[in-house]
Amino acid sequence: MSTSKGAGIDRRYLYILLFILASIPILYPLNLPVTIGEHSRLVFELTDALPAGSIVVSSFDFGPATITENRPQAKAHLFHCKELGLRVVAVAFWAAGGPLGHSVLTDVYGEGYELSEEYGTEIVFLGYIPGAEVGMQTFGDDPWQAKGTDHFGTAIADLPLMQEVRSAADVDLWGEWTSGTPGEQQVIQFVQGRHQGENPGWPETGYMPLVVGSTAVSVPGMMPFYQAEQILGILNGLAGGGEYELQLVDAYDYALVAALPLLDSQSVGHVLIIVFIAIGNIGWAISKSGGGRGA
Amino acid sequence: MSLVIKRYIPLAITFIMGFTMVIATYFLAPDTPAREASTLLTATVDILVVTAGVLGLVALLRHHSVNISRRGRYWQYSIITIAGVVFYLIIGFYGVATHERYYMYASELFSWFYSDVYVHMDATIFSMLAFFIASAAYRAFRLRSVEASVLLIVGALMLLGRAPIGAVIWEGFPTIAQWLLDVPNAAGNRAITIGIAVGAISLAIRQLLGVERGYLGPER
Repeated sequence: MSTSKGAGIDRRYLYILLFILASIPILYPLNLPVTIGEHSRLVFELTDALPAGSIVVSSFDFGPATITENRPQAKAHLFHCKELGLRVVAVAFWAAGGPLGHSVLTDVYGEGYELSEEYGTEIVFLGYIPGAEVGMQTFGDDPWQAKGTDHFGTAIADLPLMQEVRSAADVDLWGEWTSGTPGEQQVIQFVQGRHQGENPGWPETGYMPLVVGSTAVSVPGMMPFYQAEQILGILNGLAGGGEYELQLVDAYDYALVAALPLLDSQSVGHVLIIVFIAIGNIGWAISKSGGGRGA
Repeated sequence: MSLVIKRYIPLAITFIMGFTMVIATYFLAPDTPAREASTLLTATVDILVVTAGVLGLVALLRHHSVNISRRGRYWQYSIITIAGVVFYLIIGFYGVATHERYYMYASELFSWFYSDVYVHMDATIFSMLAFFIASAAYRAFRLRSVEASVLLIVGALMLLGRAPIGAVIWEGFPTIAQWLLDVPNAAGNRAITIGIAVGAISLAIRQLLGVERGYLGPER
């Protein structure tokens, strides 16, 4: 019943093989060299170029299913923001993103960050904003209308940082950590497009600077927006997160690495899938040449 | 009267709200009082979301209660669903009632179930995709036609180009993967994106004018 078509190998053996081979590099790292791609480099350089005090929106629009990819991306970028003295307004347009965002912020800014002195001036977490793309549009037009309180019940009016954030025009960079809808395309459609040219500090295109960290499977759909300079940098899946972490390790001795140790395992998984494809095709060719119908 | 409530009033609401937002988006300048009034309108989506949440909860409980009472398909799972919803509601409300400040993290138990149970279960289910993809790659990727061969070769190049081992084998793999993403993929995706956008605009116009009524349910 569970025999795969082609070479006639039971698929459970494939599962076991993948599990074992992908697990070994986690326990015994291969330390394969990581090449930093253009997309990840641009996210780093764009963030690095912001002057201290710039306002960054960090939007946690992902759920538990994709934390392996999105969490390291968001964490590394927030760490970078913290090191540069950038001020962060964190939000979530996914209900599941609220608690996950809080957890990422705790990792970067420390346990009980919401009670620290820097909370309200350097960092604010508004939590979940309902309404998906409509919520995004409202936030871009007027964050005070989108959410009356932060994630912890403090009125927005009592948070000094929010006095300076009255619309998307006050945002210097939007970091979108996403694995679906609403995600980067909704930011482009409902925030960036509505506020084009409202901030003289933005690039010549007039678009609010937007960088995205996404699951690898979603990145191909972003390329038209990347080429139109609506997206200025992309962290492409786990590899993108690892590449960003590597840049932080080199520049800031980043210690919260989460994606880098998994890249060896990813390499083994990719090679194994190619081997499976080759074996499947050889089995299919043999069965076809022997007069069978093949798979 | 029934037709007025079921058809004409929803059609009128759709037209008025949709038309208002079109005017506000395309014809009103930012920072004008009229544009700010439209923002107030979108902010009221909270009311709809909360109402939908309550309706969803009632519908879920009703559906599974009926399934249990009729001993329907997999009724045992319905018991688990209802027990889970009721349990999570109780610890949520308990937390809100006993704490002053932390709304979402009102209760440690509430937080623990989310962070240490739900998050891991959901991540585990999604992780199983790796095994299905490996199995599917073995069974489905065949060099049976030119198109399938191109797909297979491009897939293999992307697999090697997007993992560190690709550059170890040959340093050209990441460059090829980047080019595939930036050029052929972007061209195809741009065509699809524009096609979807044109289709969405035409559908929106049909809905605004009341020509497309599928969202109102079947006409009886």
